Amino acid sequence: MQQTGGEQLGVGVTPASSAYTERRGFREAWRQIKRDRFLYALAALPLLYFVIFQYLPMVGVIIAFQDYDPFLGIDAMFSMDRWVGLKHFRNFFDSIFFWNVMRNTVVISLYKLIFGFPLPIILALMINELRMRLFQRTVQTISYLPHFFSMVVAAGIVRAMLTPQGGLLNQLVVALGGEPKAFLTDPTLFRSILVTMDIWQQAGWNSIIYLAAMATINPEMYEAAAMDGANRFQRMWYVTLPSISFAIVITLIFRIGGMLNAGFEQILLLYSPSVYAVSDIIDTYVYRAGLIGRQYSFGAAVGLFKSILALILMYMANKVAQRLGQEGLW
Amino acid sequence: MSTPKLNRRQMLQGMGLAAAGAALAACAPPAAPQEAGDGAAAMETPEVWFAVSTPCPGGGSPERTEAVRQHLLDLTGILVNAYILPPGAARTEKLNLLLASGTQPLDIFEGTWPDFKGITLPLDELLEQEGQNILAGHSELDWKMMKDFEGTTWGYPRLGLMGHTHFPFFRSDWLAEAGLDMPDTWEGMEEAFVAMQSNHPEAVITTMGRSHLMYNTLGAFTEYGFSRWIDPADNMLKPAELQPGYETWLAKMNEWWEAGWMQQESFANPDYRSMLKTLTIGLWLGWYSRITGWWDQIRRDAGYVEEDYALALVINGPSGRAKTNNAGSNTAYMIPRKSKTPDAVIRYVNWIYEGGPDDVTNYLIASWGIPGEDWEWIDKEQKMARQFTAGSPVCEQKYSRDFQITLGLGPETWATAVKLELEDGSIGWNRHWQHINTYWNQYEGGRMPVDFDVPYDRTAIRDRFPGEPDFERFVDEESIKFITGVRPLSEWSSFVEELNGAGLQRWSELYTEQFRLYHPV
Amino acid sequence: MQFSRDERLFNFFNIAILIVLTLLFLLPFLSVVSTSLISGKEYATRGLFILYPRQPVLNSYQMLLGQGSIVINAYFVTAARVIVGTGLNLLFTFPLAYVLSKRKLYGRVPLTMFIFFTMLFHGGLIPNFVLVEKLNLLDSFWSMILPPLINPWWLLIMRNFMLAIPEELEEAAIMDGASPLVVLVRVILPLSMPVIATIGLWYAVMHWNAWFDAAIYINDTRKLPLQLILRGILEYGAGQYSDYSGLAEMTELADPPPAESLKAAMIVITTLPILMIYPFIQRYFVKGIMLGSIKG
Repeated sequence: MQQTGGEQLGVGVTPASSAYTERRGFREAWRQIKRDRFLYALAALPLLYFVIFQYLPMVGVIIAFQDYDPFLGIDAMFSMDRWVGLKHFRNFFDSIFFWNVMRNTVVISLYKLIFGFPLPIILALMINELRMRLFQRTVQTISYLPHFFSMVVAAGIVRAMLTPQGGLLNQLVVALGGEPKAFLTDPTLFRSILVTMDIWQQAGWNSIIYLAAMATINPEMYEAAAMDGANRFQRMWYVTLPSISFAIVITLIFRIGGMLNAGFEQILLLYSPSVYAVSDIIDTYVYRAGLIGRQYSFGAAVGLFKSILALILMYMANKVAQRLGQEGLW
Repeated sequence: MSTPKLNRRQMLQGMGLAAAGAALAACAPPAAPQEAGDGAAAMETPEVWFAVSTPCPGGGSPERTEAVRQHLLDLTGILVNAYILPPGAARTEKLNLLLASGTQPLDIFEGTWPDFKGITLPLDELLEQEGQNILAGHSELDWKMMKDFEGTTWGYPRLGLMGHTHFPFFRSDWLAEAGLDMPDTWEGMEEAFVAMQSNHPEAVITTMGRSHLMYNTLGAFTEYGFSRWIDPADNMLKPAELQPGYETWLAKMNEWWEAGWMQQESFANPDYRSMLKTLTIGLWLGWYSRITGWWDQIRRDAGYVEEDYALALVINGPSGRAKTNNAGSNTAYMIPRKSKTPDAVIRYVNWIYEGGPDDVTNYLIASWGIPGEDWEWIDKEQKMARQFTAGSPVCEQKYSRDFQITLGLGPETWATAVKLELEDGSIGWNRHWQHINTYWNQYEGGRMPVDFDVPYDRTAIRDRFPGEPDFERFVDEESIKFITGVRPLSEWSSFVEELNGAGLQRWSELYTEQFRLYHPV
Repeated sequence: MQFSRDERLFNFFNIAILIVLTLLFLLPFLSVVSTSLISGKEYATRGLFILYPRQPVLNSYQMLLGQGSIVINAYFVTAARVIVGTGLNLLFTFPLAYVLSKRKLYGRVPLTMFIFFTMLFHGGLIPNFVLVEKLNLLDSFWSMILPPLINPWWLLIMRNFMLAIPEELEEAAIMDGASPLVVLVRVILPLSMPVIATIGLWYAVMHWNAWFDAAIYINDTRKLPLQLILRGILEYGAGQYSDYSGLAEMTELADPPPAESLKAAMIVITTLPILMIYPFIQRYFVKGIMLGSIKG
């Protein structure tokens, strides 16, 4: 009996079940809380962290609706003197580049998602299929090496590879009888360069989570599949992938929530006026707008705008995941 | 000031936080904020805090720094301290937080003064009382750049009008090979490049983005060069890009581009150090220090003898001098209102300025350390010096200029006259210093921007015209399209139309308004 | 075990592709290592992409790691930060993830929402600084440890892993009379090792790479972490052209360090140790943990 009640509370996102909970009243709730007091005690300190270090500073979002200047101190945040309402949001929406930066942000993110999301899964599957331990470890360690280059360094490496002044790729082009080319100034190539660089830097690192998920698969399942005559591909498809789907889904939901972060530092370090039209994203726009003065309020407004969009995106992604019978975020 | 109610809320919030924090960070050692003016002894010895940027992110040798602090205390009676600002964009954040903080003392910092006007002290009286050397150390123009239109001074100068930042640098050995003298006309410049290229097909012209190119060349085709200008048609200030002749300049630059003269990444901020190494740059139209500093280092490392660059003092184009002087900037050192020891700060800086251009000893102490320990004069009259620890490339072995706080014009520029003992014992004059020392106040070779003496308050402008960054991006992006041929020049008039759509009128109004405060009709 | 022809073909292609990929991943790093080993003189005459040094020298490493070096000091700060930080991170993340993985828990959804919300909404720089200031943590080691104590994203990932643990295991232990704490430590903890290792690695790397909080909260140069020193070396003289500084620029160049190889050496110094962690983590990624637990 306990089990059934708990089941309904746990899954309880649907209005029906929360209404049901309501009917059962506070006494039942209290009974359950008392039963799980150990769990609540465990959660208390970590939750206190969220209150202090996450929620307390959140009062700061009000500066998005003010002309806030940090020099006036924290008190100024709570006064109405500098209230400007939606001015900063309007300034952002009114920009002649608003649609351009929105489109670039979404398109670049989407490319990174489409090409960058499946690759770590494939890489993890390939590594998982290796039988030689030492080789497996070596491949894995090396694959996530580029993750440790700071963006400044990684961008430097990319520039050195692509420069027409004797860069590695151009040496190859010349050797094959072509003309050296300034790849980074070509609007038709720029986004592809961003995506490729992103994959190079992150694929190995992002595969770690899937490898961890694969580690929890019961080997008996493989044995059973092999017994049924499944080949390696079939075992990957019918055993490995479904077993790590919970990791895939939650990662995907997070990626979708982060859609509006298209790679600020990377783009800032690589772009130039010739490719502004295809590469200027929300964050680089805000950066330029804020170059002069202390535009904390403008930055906060754009940040809030991005957060709200992310909330909507994640909510929808979560809904879809739950429809598909997956474990979502809540 | 805030209302009492808010204060109470603040207090409650602070107490709550402190209590919760104590629970969480039970084992955290309490960080004792060092407060200035604590106790009677501190009252006698004023303590000042600087915010500084140095190339040593972790500071220098702690022992040397302490020794220099004591030495400066003995000499000036002031105890100096420095916050080392972090590199990159975090620098601004840290500075802003230091300025905003209630617990962190800060007495001097650097920035464009109009941006900080509300929180800094007016310096007129202080300079009059404690800063006579500083006042004498800068030109009238430099000081004008530090004043608002009502005449109040808000800082002492870091940067101002500069004559040395842009010159065309030619490969001198390639010029000699072609039997050519240093050109002084636009045609001569083009001929020289054609001659270089015929001997060395790999030769290219390189710049560092459109603005550097404009500093070096725009004056050849326009009346005002790289400068905002007053349009006689409506008496309004307009962007440099709208003056008659800009279109001609674009056409000329497009011609260079189409002919394959220009390095393909000239507008894409590539790695210039690597590019210099390839020895393909025949004509450099960027910022000077890449040649006087970076190239000079590559040249010495690689042991090049013939290969070198030389600058053209003046290039005359169809409309006159091609170069525009680097217009005045209002970058200044300022004192925050919250400073408890503003007079001590000015007294300290005044001590650094003591001696003027003729005797930079005090500056060198603040910059290099203790004479006899970190460096010493070989011949003070001839300004020849030798460094012991001061010249070390390793931060941890030296005093890393924490207490210098006089970068730019004034003492730092005067000190470029100093010659240093080299490794082999001879005395050399560093190429970079020599360049600055020779040209920093040579303005004749270039045009003077129309508004060079106007310290624009760009924060105020952006406040009233939030689309200003858009406007600037648009002008830059489209201009480069015209140069690289992505957009044909036949579309010039539609470009001007688009500029109107991007807020040209508003831009003009706001800049004219500020310009007129300093230049009434 | 005998491999079939298909199996062998699969293995061949799998290994071949991975070797090519590995080389691609490795190439840029090799270039950085090589650059760190060349002298200023050699650098001046070499191409842009240096695959191997002609005359390897250790000057840059000696310079960076020499006597009284801030780099060594920063190493200790960073190591302390990684060890203490990651330990506390896991100590706070693991129990909460466990609690949130209990489907029966009353109020689980609102609690999850409460945490989820912090993923997307942040107060920003100034309130965080004021908080740290009011907690009296400025210039303290703990200003780098406490604010990033729990990463909500990783917390939820850990929770989802725990959701995949069959409940029967726990129930069996309770039947045997184990207390909740014993269940947590003896049953859940071993089963969660792959995800704890992963999230622990992420936290460790986060601490290893972090520099912005130190840049904002720390003034004492002896408390600065490695990455901040690295950034300083990388950014100084690297970039923007507004650098009017006469002497400042030139004192360095008077006796020039091979700037590029110094930068490269600093990258190697800051990258290698954290790379070494992985092989130790990997033993938790062994298949069949679950199986062993059920059998035992």
